[in-house]
Amino acid sequence: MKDKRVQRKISRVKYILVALNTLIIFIVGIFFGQQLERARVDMLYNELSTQNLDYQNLITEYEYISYLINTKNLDNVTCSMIETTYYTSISHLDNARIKLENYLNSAEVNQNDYSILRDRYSNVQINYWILGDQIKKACNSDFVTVLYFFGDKKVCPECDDQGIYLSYIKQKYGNKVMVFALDSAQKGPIRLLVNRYGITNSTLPAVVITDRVYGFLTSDKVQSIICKNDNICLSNQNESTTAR
Amino acid sequence: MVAFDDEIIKIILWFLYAVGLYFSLFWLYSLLFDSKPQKKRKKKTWPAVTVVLPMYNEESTAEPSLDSVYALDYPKDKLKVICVNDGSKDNTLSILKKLKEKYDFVLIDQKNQGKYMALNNAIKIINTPYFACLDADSFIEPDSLRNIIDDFHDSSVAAVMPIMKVNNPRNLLQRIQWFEYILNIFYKYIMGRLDCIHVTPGPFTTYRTEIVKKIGGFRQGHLTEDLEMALRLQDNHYKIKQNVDSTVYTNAPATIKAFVSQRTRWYQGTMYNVKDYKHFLFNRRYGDFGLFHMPLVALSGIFTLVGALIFFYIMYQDTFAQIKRMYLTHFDFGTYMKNFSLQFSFLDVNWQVMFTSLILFFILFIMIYLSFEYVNEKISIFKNIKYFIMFLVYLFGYNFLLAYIWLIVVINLTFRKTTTWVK
Repeated sequence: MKDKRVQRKISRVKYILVALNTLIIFIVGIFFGQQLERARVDMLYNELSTQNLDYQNLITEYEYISYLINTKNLDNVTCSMIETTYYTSISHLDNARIKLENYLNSAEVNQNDYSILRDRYSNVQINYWILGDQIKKACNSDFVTVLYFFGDKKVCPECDDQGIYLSYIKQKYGNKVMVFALDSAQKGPIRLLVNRYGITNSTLPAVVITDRVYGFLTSDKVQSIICKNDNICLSNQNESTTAR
Repeated sequence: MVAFDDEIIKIILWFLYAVGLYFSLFWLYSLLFDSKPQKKRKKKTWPAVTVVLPMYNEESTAEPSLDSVYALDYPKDKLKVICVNDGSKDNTLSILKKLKEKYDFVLIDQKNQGKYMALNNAIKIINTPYFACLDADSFIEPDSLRNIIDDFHDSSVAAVMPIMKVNNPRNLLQRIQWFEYILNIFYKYIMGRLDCIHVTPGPFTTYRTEIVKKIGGFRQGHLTEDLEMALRLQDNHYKIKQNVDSTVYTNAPATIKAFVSQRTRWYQGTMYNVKDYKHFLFNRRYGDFGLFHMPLVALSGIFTLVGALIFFYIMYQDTFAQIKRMYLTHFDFGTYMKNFSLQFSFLDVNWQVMFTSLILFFILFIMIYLSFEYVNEKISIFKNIKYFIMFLVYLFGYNFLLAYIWLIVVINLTFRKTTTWVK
């Protein structure tokens, strides 16, 4: 029998066709991704608009309270109403901020859009922080505002842990503790606060509670500080002891 | 540093997606657009064939294997059988001697020299134009040999293998292998159409005697003599075919230990043989086999291992972060449960990754469907709960077991550790 061998062939056309198809699928994937990120950015802008509206409402309410204080007509019901609105707004703001951070981490494109959004959210947070102190004074409210300055992992390796502790405190005390997390490297109004509290990369993480600056604080320490200054722990004391 | 590492991982993941997608599409294209194999020409006369059964410690399977050979629907005067006892330490030899009273076969008793030598010693006395090897833990269907011999009408065909199924899968591991073998049959069908089959498995691959003798018989091949033989046939530009009408059933490892041992031997043997035949890689002289298939064989282990390691790295990061969070907050589950809420948005999904993954899954499902159609398998994995569980484990867990085996192989290759046959 004649020794016949295989005629080798190279499927050039197929290689190219398959490569083109792979590329098309990837391009479609990237297109989807971009559309998605666009939708995310739009959603966050919408949330931001809602936040701004909420904030404007709160300002109006606050001005009304100031007027009532001046005319000595402020009552508990009015204060309670503004507090409720404030808590709800802060809760929405916090959810949007967490989403923003998550999207920012996974963003393939639109990094700039996210950065602008982050600056705007930080400004809104500062507004709420200031307003919180004002409401507290006007209505003698029993919540504590905590300002937390963080940095990225390179400059602040402890910031991750600090974030965990403060999130926990926030979860534990709910509306009694208002945490405002700010990236110390951001520009804009944050610079004013950074300068005022003397925050540098070496002092990060920095936690400001009732106008006093602290360094790294465990949840126990945060708890003891807020419990020393305010009455908010009384209602949570038993719960806290049980949790240990 | 962390951001840099994350970027590298992201790039590797996208590369793996691209490679996975490219090869899946290539297989699909080969299936859809390549010419179908020629129709078989039914033989009127049947050539003489020798069936060789190399045996090492096969006391429990020697008789059923031999029974299946003598049950073959093939002219008895054209069928010769050689049993080679490769220095078994159990009662294989005495069983074979007893079986000689029942069947007329040639018995070769040799010192333990390995399977390849058992085959070579048999080849020395084979005088038929074709011979088949049958591992003694495998059983063939009666019409297999006729169907296989039909495929030799093309004179460039040097070897024809049957489709190989797992014999009576009893536990989850065996069912997974049953499923994997079915996918493999289909994969080999596509590879056969491209002349890219790189292994001629022990269970009942049938060879053209003259060609095997011409290329020097079997070699040790790093304990994967079947793979080495296929590579040598490819090196000499002979054709290897898979015959879908003939089926051989083989016993798959039932324990993780036996499975890991078998696969380690296979994968390690593959790597050593790829090294021995490195001239195939990206060599246009070997057509698609050199340009496409062999590079994939060479890199498949790395892809499996890297993919699994990245998955574990990401899982480890997430899990570690959660454990750390709980530790720092004194495992206060009460507070977490109080605040727990499932907030899911369509926008939270990474659709760039999801889109590519969905395409890959889609192609996989097409392949699975076609595989079952191709082998005419009746078991529906979606109707039988045991097989459905197997399917889920195969999709989401099996690759990690394979990655673990590849890790062992990498360690063995690094420290030049050899594998052994384990029964």
